[in-house]
Amino acid sequence: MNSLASAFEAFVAPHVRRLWALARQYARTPEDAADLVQETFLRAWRNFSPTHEMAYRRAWLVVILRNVATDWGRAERRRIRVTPLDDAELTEVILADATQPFAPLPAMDEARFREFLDDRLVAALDALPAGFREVIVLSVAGELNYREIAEVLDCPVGTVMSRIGRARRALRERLADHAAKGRHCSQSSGTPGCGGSS
Amino acid sequence: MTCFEAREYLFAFLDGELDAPLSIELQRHLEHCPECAREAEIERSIRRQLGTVLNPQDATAPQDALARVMAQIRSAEGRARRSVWRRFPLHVRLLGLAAAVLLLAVGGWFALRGGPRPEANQSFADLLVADFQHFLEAGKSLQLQSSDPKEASTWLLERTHVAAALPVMQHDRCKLVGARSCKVSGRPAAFAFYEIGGEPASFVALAGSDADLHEMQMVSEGGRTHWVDRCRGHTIVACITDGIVRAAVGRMSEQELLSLLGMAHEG
Ligand SMILES: [Zn+2]
Repeated sequence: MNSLASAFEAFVAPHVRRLWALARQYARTPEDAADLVQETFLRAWRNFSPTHEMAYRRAWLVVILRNVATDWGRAERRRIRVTPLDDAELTEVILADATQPFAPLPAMDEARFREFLDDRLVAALDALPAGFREVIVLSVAGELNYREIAEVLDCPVGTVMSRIGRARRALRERLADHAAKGRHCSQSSGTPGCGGSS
Repeated sequence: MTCFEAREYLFAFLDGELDAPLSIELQRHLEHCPECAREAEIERSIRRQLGTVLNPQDATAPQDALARVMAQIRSAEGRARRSVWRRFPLHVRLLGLAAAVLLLAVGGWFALRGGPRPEANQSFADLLVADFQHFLEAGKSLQLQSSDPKEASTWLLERTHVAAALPVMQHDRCKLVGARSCKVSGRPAAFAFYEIGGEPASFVALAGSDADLHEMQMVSEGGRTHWVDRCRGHTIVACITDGIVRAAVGRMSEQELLSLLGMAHEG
């Protein structure tokens, strides 16, 4: 009968699925992910006030989830993937700069390409530096827009946009590596992206 | 748009984050450049597949987690209601605090002053206790969540027939949170809850006279009269207009509390 508890439940309910998807990415086991969302709900409750504008922002719960994950990761109590964003690391990865075409993938028909992605996408994603992996996770699993991701990462929207671009390019490179090595490259007629634009 | 630019903006475009003019330009480029169009198609497929692999099928675990948390919250509240309401969530606690402060202020003040207690005042305090307990036991917070003084005043008038006449606040610092109806001294009373600079403050209005306030300190200035008292770091201010007693309680200054009564001095 408590209206505050009910208000909280009503506020959280629509976000459960997305938070779970994120927790599954931040934690390495489903058990840790379940603990992670539970702690997120508890922390959110402790800070919840229906008058608190922040509480009604979609990103608020994600901010809390990420804070919990970061705390846990720091305490090394759990196997958490969150790592503090290391810009040096990211810079290194994007040495293949934005003026280059996207990493070429061998020509495949649609069904074959889907099979290839089924096979390789998770590994390619996991091979990304944490900061790159995280923006993709926040965008896709968290279904957050760039502004919300900026809020979660506490950085400008422009940074989010460029980081996502770099992350997706890096992902593409990983996929291309896999394709080059894997059985999928049998007819490796590398298809270049479009030419440079100089 | 060049191919280089098209690739630069492609991801934001696919994520629906590109502003309209650029989006249209890029769309036009894709219509005329088969190579970029192919890249877009590949990236779209990757994005789609990412959505699939990052979307866990089994979603019962988080629902269970939420159910556990809600059970914990509700049972903690049950316990708190019976004993220590300190463990209440912030919002309920603040409301409780405001009510308790009012209670302590009135009760403590009577106790400190001693002497004969006017019957009317005693029942006034008693009924404040009853109202407070009812408030906690029912686990009620506010019956109306509103930051609009006009809406809250209308709502309170309909429920209590007391013209609360909540003032329109001149400063963002002072925010109306909501309202509830209650009874004080058997009289229907309007209760409103505020945050002043993030601190809780309550407002109570009921039909009454200066007999309700006669042991408070009367302050007359600028042709207006209000009553004030202090207790345990809290301030209580009151005024009477047209047979309605209005009171405000909180930790803030007399001036700030007077703003809840629409009596703040300009400047
Ligand atoms: Zn092109």
